[in-house]
Amino acid sequence: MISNWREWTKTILWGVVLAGGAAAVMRFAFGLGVTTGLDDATPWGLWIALKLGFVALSGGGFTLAALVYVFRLESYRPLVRRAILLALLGYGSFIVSLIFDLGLPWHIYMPILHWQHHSVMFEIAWCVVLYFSVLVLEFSPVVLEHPFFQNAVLQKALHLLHKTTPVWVIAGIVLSTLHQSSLGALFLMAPHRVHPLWYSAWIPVQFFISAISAGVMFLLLEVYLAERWFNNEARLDLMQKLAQIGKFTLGLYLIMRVGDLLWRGVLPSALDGSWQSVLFAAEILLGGVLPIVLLSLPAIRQHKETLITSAALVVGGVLSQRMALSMFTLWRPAEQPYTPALAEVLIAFAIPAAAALLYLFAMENLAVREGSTQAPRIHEALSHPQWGAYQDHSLWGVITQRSLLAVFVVALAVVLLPNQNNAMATLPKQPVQAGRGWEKLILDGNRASYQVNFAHAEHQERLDCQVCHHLNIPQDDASGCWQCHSDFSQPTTIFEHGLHQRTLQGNASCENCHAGAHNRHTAIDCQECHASTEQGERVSTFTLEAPGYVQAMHGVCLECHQRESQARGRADLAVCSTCHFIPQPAPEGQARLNQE
Amino acid sequence: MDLWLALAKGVFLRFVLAVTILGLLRHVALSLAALWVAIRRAPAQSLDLRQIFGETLAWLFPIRRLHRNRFGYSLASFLFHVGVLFTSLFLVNHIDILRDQFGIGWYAIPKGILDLLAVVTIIAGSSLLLFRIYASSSRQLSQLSDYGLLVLILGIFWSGFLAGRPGNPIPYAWLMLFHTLSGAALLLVIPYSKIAHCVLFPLIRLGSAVGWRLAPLAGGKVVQRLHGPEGRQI
Repeated sequence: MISNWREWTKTILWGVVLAGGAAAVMRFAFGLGVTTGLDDATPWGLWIALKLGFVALSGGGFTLAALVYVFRLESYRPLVRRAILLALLGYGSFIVSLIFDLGLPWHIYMPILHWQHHSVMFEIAWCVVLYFSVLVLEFSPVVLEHPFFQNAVLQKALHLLHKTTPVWVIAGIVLSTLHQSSLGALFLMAPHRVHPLWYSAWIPVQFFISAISAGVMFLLLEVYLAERWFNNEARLDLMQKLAQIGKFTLGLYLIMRVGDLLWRGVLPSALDGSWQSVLFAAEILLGGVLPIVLLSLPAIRQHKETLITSAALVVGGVLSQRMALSMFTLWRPAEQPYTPALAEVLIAFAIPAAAALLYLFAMENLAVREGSTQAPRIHEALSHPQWGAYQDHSLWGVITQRSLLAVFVVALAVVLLPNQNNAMATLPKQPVQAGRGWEKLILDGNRASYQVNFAHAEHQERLDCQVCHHLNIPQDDASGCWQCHSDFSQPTTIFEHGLHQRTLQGNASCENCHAGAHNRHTAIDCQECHASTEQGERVSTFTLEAPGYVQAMHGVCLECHQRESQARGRADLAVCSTCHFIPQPAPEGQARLNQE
Repeated sequence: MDLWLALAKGVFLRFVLAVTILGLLRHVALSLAALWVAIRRAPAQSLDLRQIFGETLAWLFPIRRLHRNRFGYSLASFLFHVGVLFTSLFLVNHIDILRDQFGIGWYAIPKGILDLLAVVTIIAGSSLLLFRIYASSSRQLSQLSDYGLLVLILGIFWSGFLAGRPGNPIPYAWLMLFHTLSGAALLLVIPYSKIAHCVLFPLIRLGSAVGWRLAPLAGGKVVQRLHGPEGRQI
C-alpha cells in the first residue's frame, strides 16, 4: 500500500508522466497540427516557454562549479553535486522537450552535421549538445562510485574523470555562458514580435545574469525541500550564502532591465494599464524588488522559511520573464489566439515530472547529498531469499499499484486526446458557405479569400454530373456539395437513424430498410425510397457521415487531377495554384485603395 | 437517446476498451514477472515446457476430457465459452464499431450462424447458472461475483439478440443502450475478475508447474495466505 506522503508524491508524478506519455504517442502519431494549439501564426508556445525555464533553472550548475573549482570557495563544495544534478536534469528536459517541438524530430542531429555559421540556432544546438555531454561527464563520478559499478575498467574511468575534472568544469562554464546568452539572442532576430517592455538589445546578457540568480535560488529551494524529504535539517549557513549570490545577481539584472527601459524611453508604457503592464509590474515588483528588500533584512535571512519564500519569488519572477517573452506577450494576429491543447499541457507537465522522478531516484540511490550513502534497494528486493517475502516487499506493491494507475491514466488519455478518427473534430466548427455562380462557380467555403474559380460548365461537358453530385438530398436534382459537407473541417451526420425509426413505426419497420440482419451493411440505398437522391458511383456503401468540406472537395478533385496530370505529363494540373488563388482587386479599385 | 447511444458506442467504449486491453496486458506482465522470480527462487529450476504446452492445449480444447466428470456441466461450459468468444469477436456490428473507433477490423462470421450460436450460448449460460444454484458443491464454492458475472453475460446476450429481431416489444434504442452499457461493464471488470483467465490461461499450467518446484513449506505459506496467520489443517 502507499503508506506515506513521499510515496503519494511519487505516485502522482508517475500519473503525470504516464498521461504525458500517452499524449506523446499521439503527438508523434498525428503530428503537431492535430495535437497542439500551435500554427503558423504561433510557432512558439508552451513548450518553448518551458524550455527557456528549464535552462534558466539549470544556472546553478555552472555557477557552483565555478565557485568551487575555479575560485576555490570550498564552503560551497557540499552543493556542487546536487547543483550539477539539477543542471543535468534541466538540460535533459530541454532536449526532450525540443524533440516534441520539432516538426521533424528525427532531424535533430542536422545542425551537428550541417553547419550554418550565421544561425543562432546553430550555436544553441552545439552548446546544448556539448554542455549536456560535459554535465554527463561531471556527474559520472557520482554514478560510478555506486557499488553496482565496482569493476576495474569503470574504476579506471572514474579515476580519469577525477583527474580531468577542471577541464570539464571550465568547458561547462564557457559553454553554458554562451548558451544562456544565445537563447536570449533568439529574440533579437524578431524584435517586431517581442513586446517593448520585454525587448532589449541586452537580452542575451539579461538571460545570462538572471540564469545565475534563478539557478542559485532554485538550488536553495532544492536544498531545503530535499533535506525535508530525507528528514534532515538543511544547513542555514549554505542557504544564506546562496541567497546572497542570488540577491546580488538579481539586483544587477534588475538594474540592467529597468535601466534599459528608461534609457529607451519605454518605461512609461508600464503604466498604461494594459494587462502586459500589470504582468510587467508583478514580475518586477514581486519577483525582483520584493525579494531584494526581504533578503536585505537580517531578520529574514535568519529563517529558512523566509529564505525559501524569497527564493521562490525570484524563481517565479525569472520564469515569468521567460514565459512572457516567448509565449504570453509574443505578437500574434488578433484573430488567431493561442491556447495550448490538452496534449501540449500534459507533455509540458510530464517532462518536469519525469525529471523529478529521476532526481528522487538519484538522491535516494547515489551519494549526491553531503554525507549520504548509497542504498541499493532494488538489489535487496531482488535477492530476497523467499518468494512470499518478495511479494510482500514494498517494491512489488509499488509496481502493482503504479501499473494499475498506468492503465487508467493511459485509457483516459486515449479518450481525451485527439486521434486519427476525431482529429478533424478538434478544429473549430465552421459552417460552409454555398458556392456562387453557375458557369464559373466561385468556391470559398470559409470565406477566407483563398478561393477556387471552378469552371463548372467546362467540367460539365467532360464529366458525368454524378461524379460530383454523387448523392442528392431528397426531392432535389443536383444538391450542392455544401449541403451535405456542411462543415468546413468536421464530418457531419447526414442520416438520422432515430428519425427514420420513429417515422416508420419503430421496430416493426426494421425490415423496410434492412435486408435480413440489422447493421449498416444490410441497409438499402437511399434512392430506393427517395428516388431523387440518385446515388452515384462514389458512394458504394451506405454511410452515416459526410466528410468535412475540405476533405470532400480535395477527395473528388485531386484524384482526377493527379491522374490527368500523369496521363498528360502536365505537372501543373496537380498543384495547389492550379485551382486556388487569392483574388486581387481590379486595377482601378487598387488605385483607389492606394489613393485612400 | 441517439446521443446517449452515440456516446456509449463512442467515447465511453473507447475508454472501456483501453482499460480492458491495457489491464489484461498488465495482468500478463505481472504474472510473467512473478513466475520469472519464482523460477529463480525454486531449488529445481528445470521445467518440461513441452509437457506444459501440451497440457495447456489439452485444456483449451477439452474434447477428450468432457466426459470425465459432470458431463453436462462440462459440455455447457465449453459451448458457453465458444459462444461468448465467437459472437463477441466476429459479429459484423462489433467489428464496425472497432473500425469506427480504432480503425481496425477483421472478417465477420455470417449473422445467421452467430444468431444460432447466441441461442446456444444463452441456453448453455442459463444451464451453468442453474448448475451453480442447484449443485451443493458448486454453491458452496461460489461467490456473489460468480452469479453476477453470469447474469451480466446473459443480459448482454439477451439484449443483443432481441435488438436484432424486428417486432420485439422493447424499443431498439433502449435495448441497444442496455446492451452497450452492460457490455462495457463486462469489459471493465474483465481484467479485475476471474474472467482474466481469457488471457492468463496459457500461464495457468506453467504457474502450477513452477509452484511444485518451490521450497518445502511453501504449502504452509499458501494455507496462511488463504486462511489467515493461524492457518488451518487441510
